[in-house]
Amino acid sequence: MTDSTVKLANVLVIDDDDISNFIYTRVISATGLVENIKSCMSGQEALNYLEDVVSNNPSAYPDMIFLDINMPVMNGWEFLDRYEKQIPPSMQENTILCILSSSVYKDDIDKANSYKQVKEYVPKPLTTESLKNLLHKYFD
Amino acid sequence: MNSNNDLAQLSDLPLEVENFANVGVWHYYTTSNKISWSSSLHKIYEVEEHEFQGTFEDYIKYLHPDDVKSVKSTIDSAIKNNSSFSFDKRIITANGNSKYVRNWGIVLRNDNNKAVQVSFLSMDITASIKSEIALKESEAFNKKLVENTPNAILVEDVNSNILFANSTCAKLLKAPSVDFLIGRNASEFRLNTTKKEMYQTMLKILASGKASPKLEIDYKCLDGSVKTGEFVTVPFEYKNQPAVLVIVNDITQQKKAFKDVESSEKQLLHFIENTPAAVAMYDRNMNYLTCSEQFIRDWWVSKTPISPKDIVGKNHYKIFTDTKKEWREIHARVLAGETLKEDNDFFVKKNGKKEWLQWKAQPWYKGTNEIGGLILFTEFITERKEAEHAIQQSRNRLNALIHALPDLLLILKSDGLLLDIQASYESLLFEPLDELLGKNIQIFLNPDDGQEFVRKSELAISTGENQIIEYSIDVNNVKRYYEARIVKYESDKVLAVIRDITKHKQDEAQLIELTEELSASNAELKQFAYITSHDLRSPVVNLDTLLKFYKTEGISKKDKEELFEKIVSSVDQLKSTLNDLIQLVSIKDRTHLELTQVDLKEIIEAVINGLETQINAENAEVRYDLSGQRFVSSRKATVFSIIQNLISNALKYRSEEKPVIDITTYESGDYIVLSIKDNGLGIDLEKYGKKLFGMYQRFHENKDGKGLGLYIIKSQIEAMGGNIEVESMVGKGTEFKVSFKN
Repeated sequence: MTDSTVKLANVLVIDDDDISNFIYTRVISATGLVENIKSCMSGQEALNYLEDVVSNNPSAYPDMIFLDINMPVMNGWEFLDRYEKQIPPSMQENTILCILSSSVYKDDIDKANSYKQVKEYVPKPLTTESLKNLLHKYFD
Repeated sequence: MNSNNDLAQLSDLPLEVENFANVGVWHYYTTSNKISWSSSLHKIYEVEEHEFQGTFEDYIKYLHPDDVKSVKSTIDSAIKNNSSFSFDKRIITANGNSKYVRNWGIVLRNDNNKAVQVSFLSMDITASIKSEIALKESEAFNKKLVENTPNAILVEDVNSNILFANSTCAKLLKAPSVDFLIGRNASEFRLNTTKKEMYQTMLKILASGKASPKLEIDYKCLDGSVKTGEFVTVPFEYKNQPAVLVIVNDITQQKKAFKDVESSEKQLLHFIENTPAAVAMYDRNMNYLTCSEQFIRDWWVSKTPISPKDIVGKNHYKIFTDTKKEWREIHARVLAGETLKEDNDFFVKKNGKKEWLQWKAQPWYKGTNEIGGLILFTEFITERKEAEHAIQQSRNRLNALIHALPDLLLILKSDGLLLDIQASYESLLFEPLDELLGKNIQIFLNPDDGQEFVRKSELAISTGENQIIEYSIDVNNVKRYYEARIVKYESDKVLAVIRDITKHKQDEAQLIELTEELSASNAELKQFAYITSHDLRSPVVNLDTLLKFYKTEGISKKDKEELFEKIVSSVDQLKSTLNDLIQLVSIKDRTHLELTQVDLKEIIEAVINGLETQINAENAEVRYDLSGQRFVSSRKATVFSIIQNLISNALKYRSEEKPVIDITTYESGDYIVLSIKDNGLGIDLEKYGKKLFGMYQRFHENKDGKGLGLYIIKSQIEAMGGNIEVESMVGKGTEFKVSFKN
């Protein structure tokens, strides 16, 4: 059951593993606090989607983005670099971008902190608990 | 007879008269040829009365041989002509004494005017003759003396007119002759300054009758030049007039020489005082005439300072009271004319310090022959000796070192000329010794090494810092490496110590190889760790979550089925990762390399079979042509894995065209090459080329597979001694070439 009445309009999940995406989607929707959940299987797909939204439907811009690091072709870091350049800063500012990762390496954590768009480093799995805490923190 | 009376007159002279006057009477009787002597004559002739025979011949006996003839002729002519005559003769007495006798003779004639007797009065005039002779001799002597004396002799009258001058005087005064001077006035030759003095001297001596003391006076010659003479003036009677005898000793040269000596002595003193060496000059009694500052610095031990001027006149032995006996002896010998020296004299100073001394002592001369004293030169050479000693020791150490070194030692000029070579054993040399010495080392090195060697040699000399150079030489067709340490040896020479570092270089190379391998291993290990921590964890985490969902109450059957599917899928993921890892481990563990002849046809067909579903799904065509080679030496499983991997990749990364995969084989050198070519998407090799076969790489989106595929293939192939290459272009397709060792 939800503790809050805040609702998020849009959440974007970026992970190349479909099972992970399945799980995130399920967890997020179980909170009942999110209207739309969009998942992308690659960084490129996500960028394309975001650019499209910015041009055509800015109000649908995700309030939260969950990003996996270990992805082929364009990994999480590469995505962030492109994201920084390609998406207008005004849109970036209002989005809570969280890195989801099963990596526990300090290097990765430090690197995450070096990106100003990254607000949180969330270890996998994404649980209902951790999600609620995030929502509390940022959207209460 | 009348003549008898005359005769009787003559012979009657009383004996006393005869003796007193030293005269005697004798008669010569012409007819009987007999002679009778008075007793005086016997005395004169020193003949006893009984000894004289009384004949004319007997008489002749006593005449000087030279006078016999003249006496005889005088008597004969007198007998013929004269009545009285006189003559002198020399006699030699019975005792051998020569005498002079004067004879007056009268010829007595008889009535017939015939000479019957000659009577003589003889007088011994020896004494007066002798004194006459003596006088003559003396006169002759005086004349000779006066003429030949080196002194100028003048006789002046009281008015200074020259009455006499000798030739020396004429020469001295530069007069043309003696006669030129006679009659001139001596004042012509006196200088204005001395005129008065000379005049007064003359007056004085004339008054006193005594000779003047020796005076040194300057005078002038006829040509005006001035000379100096020592003058002695003596009062004198000359030709019955009061005169002055002037004797002059010309000392002009002497004076000049003396001045020269004086000045040279002064110069010597001056030199000694100012020379930077330690020198002292003494007189005959070892009193200091002067010494140099350095001398005092070296020898003066008292705290009170002293200068060369203070030391003048002081006696050496009084100042240096502890002068050893040996030194006194040395001084004595030098003052006697010897020159002595010692190049390496050793002594211990009062304070116990050992000193080395070099010294020389020699006499110095006033004029040409008179020793004026001693000059002593000393130099402390202790420092020099110590330096020599140190150098010698250092040389010895260096030599010992050189002989002890196990290496090759070269001594070269800075331009590379080999001057000396020391090798502990012959084999260190790349040429025989005589082929090397005198040649330039650049001949034996390659041009770059040679130049560098010379450059470093020059640098060693100019900076004084040791230089190191490595170079290689082919020895017996083997490339050997050497290290040379170059050290400055002399201002234009260097010492080079050569070490053979071939083994070292080999070890180095090996080390580098090992290090690279280790680094690679290390990197792989890191990747391993990363994979395990991430790739294993991920599916496990998912499983966990999925199971939670599955257990949640109130979910639909459909939901459950979906979840179950996902669970299975996760497990598959996990299995697949684990398999990959196991494969990797087994590849790295190379103990299971059993190679067989693998039939490629068989394998390809098996792979196609296994991938049938996908091949059909993609509508792909797989073609193969093994006419080049059908078999490869490998492991069945490995080849299967490789071909499966590459074909499935080609299917995965297909383009929009119908996928066509071509497999061919051909021989290339020692290898058999298996080529798998597709017409798929192609790989941007520029971007991914390096990372292609790396661990965990994927180049295309949206496809499954973890990207370990190519890495595993590569590892498998390399484990068997083969390799894998790729050619590809984006949009055109990809060709993998796998080489198997034949």
